[in-house]
Amino acid sequence: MAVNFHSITTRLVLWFTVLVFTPLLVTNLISFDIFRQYLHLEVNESLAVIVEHKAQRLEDYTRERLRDVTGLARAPAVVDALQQFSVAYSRGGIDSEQYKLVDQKYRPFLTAMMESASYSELFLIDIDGSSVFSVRRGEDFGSNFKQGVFRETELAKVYELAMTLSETELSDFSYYPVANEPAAFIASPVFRDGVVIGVVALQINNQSIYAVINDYRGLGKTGDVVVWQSKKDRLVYMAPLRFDPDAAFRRRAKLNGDASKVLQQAAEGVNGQGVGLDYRGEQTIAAWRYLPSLRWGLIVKKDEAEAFSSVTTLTQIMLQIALGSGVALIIIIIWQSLKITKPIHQLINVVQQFADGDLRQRVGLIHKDEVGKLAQAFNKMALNLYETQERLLSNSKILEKEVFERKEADVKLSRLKNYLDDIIDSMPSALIGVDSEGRVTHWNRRAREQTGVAKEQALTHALRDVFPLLRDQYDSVLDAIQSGSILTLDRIERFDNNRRQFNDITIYPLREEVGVGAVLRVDDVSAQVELQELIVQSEKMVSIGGLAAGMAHEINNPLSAISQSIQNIFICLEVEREKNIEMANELGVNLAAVNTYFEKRRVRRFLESIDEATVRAAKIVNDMLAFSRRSESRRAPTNLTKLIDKTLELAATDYNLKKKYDFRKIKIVRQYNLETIEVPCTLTEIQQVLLNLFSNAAQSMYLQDSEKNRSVPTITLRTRQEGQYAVLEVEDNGPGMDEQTRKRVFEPFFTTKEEGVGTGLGLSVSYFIVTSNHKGMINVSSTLGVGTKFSIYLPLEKVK
Amino acid sequence: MNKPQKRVLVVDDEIGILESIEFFLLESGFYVCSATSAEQALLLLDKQVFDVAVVDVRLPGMSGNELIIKSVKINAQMKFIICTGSTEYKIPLHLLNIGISREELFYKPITHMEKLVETINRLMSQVN
Repeated sequence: MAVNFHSITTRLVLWFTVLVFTPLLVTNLISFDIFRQYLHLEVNESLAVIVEHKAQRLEDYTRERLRDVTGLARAPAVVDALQQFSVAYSRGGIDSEQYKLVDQKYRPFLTAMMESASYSELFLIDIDGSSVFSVRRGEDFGSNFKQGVFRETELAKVYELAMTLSETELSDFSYYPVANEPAAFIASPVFRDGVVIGVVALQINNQSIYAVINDYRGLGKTGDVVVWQSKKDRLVYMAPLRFDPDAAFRRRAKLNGDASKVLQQAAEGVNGQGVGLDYRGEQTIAAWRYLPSLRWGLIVKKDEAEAFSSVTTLTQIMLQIALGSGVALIIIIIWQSLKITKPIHQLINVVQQFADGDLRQRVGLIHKDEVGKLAQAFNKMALNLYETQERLLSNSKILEKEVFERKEADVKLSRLKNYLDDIIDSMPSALIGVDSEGRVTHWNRRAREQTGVAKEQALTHALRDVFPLLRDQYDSVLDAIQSGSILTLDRIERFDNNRRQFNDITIYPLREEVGVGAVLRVDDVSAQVELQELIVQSEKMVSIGGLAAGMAHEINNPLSAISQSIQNIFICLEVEREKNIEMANELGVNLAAVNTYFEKRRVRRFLESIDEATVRAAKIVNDMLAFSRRSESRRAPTNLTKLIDKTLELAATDYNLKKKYDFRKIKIVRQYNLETIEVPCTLTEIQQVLLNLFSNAAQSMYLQDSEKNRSVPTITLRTRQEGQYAVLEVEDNGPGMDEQTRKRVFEPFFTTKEEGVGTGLGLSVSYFIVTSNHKGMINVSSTLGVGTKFSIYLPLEKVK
Repeated sequence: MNKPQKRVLVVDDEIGILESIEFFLLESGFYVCSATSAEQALLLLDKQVFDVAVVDVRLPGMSGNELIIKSVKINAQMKFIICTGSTEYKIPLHLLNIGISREELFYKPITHMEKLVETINRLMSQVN
């Protein structure tokens, strides 16, 4: 669900939340910080107290021990004991009778002395460094600390120091092999009559010191006490640690390591407090001191986590309270916000529905607040609006009904008009209505198509202007209207784009009232006229064909006699022929002389002329009948376009054609629309037809060209499909021909050319090739001065 | 002439044509008889044997086609050449069936009668 930050509810909730939680958070944070600081101070203080206390105790302990030993060294019993032990030792060693006597005498006293202050060992060492007495009689007993194996020990060192300085000295803690543990010794010089005779040395009891150090009272669970001493380049822990009981003398740290910064500080004699990581890597709060008597550093520390655990716990509790109260607060805030905005939303809903058109909407529950007042005002306004609208509605309903009825009537009327218009438009004839003045009142679709004049341009105009075809008969049209008699005008000829068109026109005066107007019906009968002409043509050609065929036989027989007789005559004139020689000899005639005579008198030439004439006559008859002879060659699917182009090439190279009119000078325009369709036909025959048409076109244009030298001679070739026919057109822009010529062009022997140029058979042969052999059609249209067009129709379906 | 003469019958109702063919064939060394009608030709065929007949189609009375059919019945070995002045003429099916082909059809006028002689010789050579 998307939250709308502009809604009152959201804004209320957000602001209340911010206002409640900000002080809560700020208070929490500040108190937390104060508490933390306070705690820090307190921990620091307590640590400081503890470290002070521990330092004091350790210092006190060592000082006491030093005092003890000093006192012991001055005790006359000890002076005597040392004196006697030294003598006995130097005389007979520790195993002599004299030593045993001395030992028996002093041992109880010395042992008691040692145990009284819980020392671990007591030595008496003579002036030469020999250990002349030992309570525990360890390995070091009887050895010499100046020269023996123990000369490097802390004991040897402190002996030397005490002897040299004549003062009581405390050694460092160090591992002591005889005790097999870290040990520190206190040595004090023993004087007899003002002269040093030796030293009394005591080994400090480690446990006593550890007891002070490892006292963790007041340090909680993580508090720890660390003591150490710097030795050469490292720091050595001198006592067990709380979390590492074996640390004493075993655990070491680098003197310059980061972790030991504090240790080092302390070891250098600086007292202080601070925060840092301890040996376990924990964050700790620490206080440190230097213990001068022991030459130790002392740290008392506590984990920060524990130190501040109360703060952490407090914070958690506070957070939980804040969270709990926060959730409760938010619920209350949302509840209250919704309570405030709910009536507003209800009001909005009602207003919205009202605005959407439901004027019956009212606010149901009226609250007593400002929103309630608004709702009351709205209800009042809504009632007013509703009543006003009701009044308007009842008025408009009456109006609406009237409008609807009128509309319905209009629709019916216009539907009827459209229907009538449609009927009139659908008529195949041009129907034109005119009034008594001859002005156009109606103009249907066919009228527009036939005249090319749009309805809008025709209406109200004079018929004379928009329909020029009737210009000549205009008066008789007006007469017909006035008299009320039907007028029929047949086969009115006109030219449309150089095409002859025929129209039948009938004028029907309107019957209702004489003189009101008339309807003109104009039918385009061009197609009928053309068809009629074709039928007449066809019948004529068939009869001519039959006539010619009959004639041919009759002509051929006499021609035969002539031709064959001439051939025989030539045989009879042959000089070498046996029979001729025989006959000549019989008659006493010189055959050569006869021949010479025929030659001289040109008889032979005349005979040859007769022969040639018969051959030519035979050819004419043959040509004439070529069309009536059924072609036996097969019709095969042929690409008409390719055929035309091939024939054009042929025409261009045809010698006979070239001789007279150079075909290549003619411009050829190709408008092919039959590229892919193949037409069943006999290639050679159609080629013959085309050659004939090209030749005729070239001749006619050539004639005109020389006469007027007009436009560029052009032959336009078109192919297209028209129903089940492939149409091929050959059009020239030659002189054209008159109507009389046009009607006769296909007749055999009809020619317009000079005598001897053509036989007048070309077009008739073409005619029969197309009509008889291909079951097609050929027709010609021509306009004088414009050109001639031959159209050939070849059926696409193979006709048997 | 050592070889036996080839015997040709010419039938045509036009005397001019008949005589000119007869003369040309005689000159070419054939034995030639002529008839002006089919009926006359049949009479001749009864008495004599001919190797080849040159027949006009359109004859008074019986037509050339009929004459050929009848002649074959008399002499099955006989060959025929058809001569016609009608350019519409087509060899009818029953004549095609007895072996007459386009090669043996001549349209009038026969402008080169040597071809007629050549055709007769060819037909004769087929027989022998």
